[in-house]
Amino acid sequence: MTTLTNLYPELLDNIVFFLPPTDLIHLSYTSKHFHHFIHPVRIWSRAFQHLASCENVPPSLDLSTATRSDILHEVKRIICRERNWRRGLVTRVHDVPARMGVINQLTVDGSSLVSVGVASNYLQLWQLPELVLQQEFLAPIQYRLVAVAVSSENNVVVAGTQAGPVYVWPIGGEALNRNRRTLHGHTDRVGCLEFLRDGTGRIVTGSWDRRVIVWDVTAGAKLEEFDTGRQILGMHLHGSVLQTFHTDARVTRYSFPDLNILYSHRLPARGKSRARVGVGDAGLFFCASGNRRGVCYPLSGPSWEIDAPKQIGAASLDGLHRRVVVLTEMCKTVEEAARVWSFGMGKEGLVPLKATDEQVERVLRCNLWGDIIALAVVDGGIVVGTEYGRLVMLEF
Amino acid sequence: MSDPANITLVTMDGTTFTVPSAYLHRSKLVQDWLRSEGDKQAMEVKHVTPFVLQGVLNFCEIHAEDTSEPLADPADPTKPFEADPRDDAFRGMPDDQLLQFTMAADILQIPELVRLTAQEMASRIDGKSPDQIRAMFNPDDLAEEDVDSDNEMGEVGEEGAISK
Repeated sequence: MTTLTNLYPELLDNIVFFLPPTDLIHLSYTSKHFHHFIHPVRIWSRAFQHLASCENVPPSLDLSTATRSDILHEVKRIICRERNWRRGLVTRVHDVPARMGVINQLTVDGSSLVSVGVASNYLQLWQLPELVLQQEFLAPIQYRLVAVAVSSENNVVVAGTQAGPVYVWPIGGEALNRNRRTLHGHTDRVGCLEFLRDGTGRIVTGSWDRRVIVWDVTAGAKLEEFDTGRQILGMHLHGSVLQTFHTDARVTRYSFPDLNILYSHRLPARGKSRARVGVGDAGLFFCASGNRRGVCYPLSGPSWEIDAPKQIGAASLDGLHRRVVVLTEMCKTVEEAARVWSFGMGKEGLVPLKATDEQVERVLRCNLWGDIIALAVVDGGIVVGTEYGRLVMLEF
Repeated sequence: MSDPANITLVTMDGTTFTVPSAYLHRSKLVQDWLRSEGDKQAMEVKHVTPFVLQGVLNFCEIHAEDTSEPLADPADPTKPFEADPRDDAFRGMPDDQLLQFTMAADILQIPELVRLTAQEMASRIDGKSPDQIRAMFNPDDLAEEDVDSDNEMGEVGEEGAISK
């Protein structure tokens, strides 16, 4: 019988070539044989090279100048972090006041994080990893912002409002009215915003008016418009596939840009429970319905289903590392509420967070007496927004 | 002298396959054989079972018309892998069969097929936990050993030259 263990090294090398760093680590954990096989720096530097050639990934290491010890150091860092992620082990916690009441949504791109409060007309831009407030942006007072997106590449922040207009601000420019651009087209709550990660400065928006619109942000022009026939709660566009999640818990996948339906089905829901969350990243799309159940759809292959102990209130995912972090409702502290789920871990794989010592424990509990509704997975950890207007970053 | 338009392959158990030689233009082994010993009756492909050879020939037939530049190295980081719907037969295959195809492709020196099967194998490992990967192998082969890589990462041998 042919298995991976008795395959000769040259062929194993070809297979290993296609594995991203996290999977290399998993494979190296399985046995001494693989551990020694995956050990050489050559395999690792190639894996980083491969990673850097994939779209939408900032290189973690400059391979043209990196020395051997740099690569080893990076490998060690990835291994430690990956281990902590799988165990839900928090190594560092810090928090900053956000001064915006209850934080409604957090969105991240590279090292920029934007936050928006519930029923507020302004949003804040933060710099990671230290959470330094960089800029604040203001929309007209009558509009409440419900969704935000940031593109550090194009240097803009966009926000969708309760009533339909979408606002665009340049990062770094003065927060004046004439700097702000308005995209008119939607007539109802714009709850989903996403940048097309191809450097063209286009965004897609999804709204309760049932339409998906593609915009050119720099020109402020509407490029394409499409009626899905259902209110849109979550949306994710990756390459040539657009996935939408609707308020009646229906998940639909379209080809993009010609928008033919590839498949469509309803999430299992009980009684009148409604759809809750739909988020996507790097091809992964996660949807949760009202009955504690979430389903994760990868671009290819079967979907994964998870059962949370309580209703899922918010979710965020890291498509590259294939991780989902969910926040369950009615939990008082972050450790109880946040659960990490890594792919391939099965239904029981929802790992609650663990704090290492008393101090971390105390910070975790401070100011967290209500439900947390905003969450973002960043490089190296998660950021949550608490009801008392603080941003807490938990690093793994 | 055999027909130059066709080539006959003989597997380990004597089963013969006759296909147009144009199908095998990507196989370096077959091309070398045609150049040096092309006047013989049939080419022996030992170590390959008829079933696997049939699959390999199917792949070659599907891709006979492809005009893409031949791959020099299956693990070429400059060429992104693109899935081809014509190769879906390899997607549903059991693990050990897939690896047999990888080996056969390596014997016949068809880099495109090595790449395809290796990528498919990698995508099966992708996203799995160590325990699940372990379950994919023959469990008898492996004693479970928890390797503490943190301690060992500092002592890499000389084989670890950095490729730039």
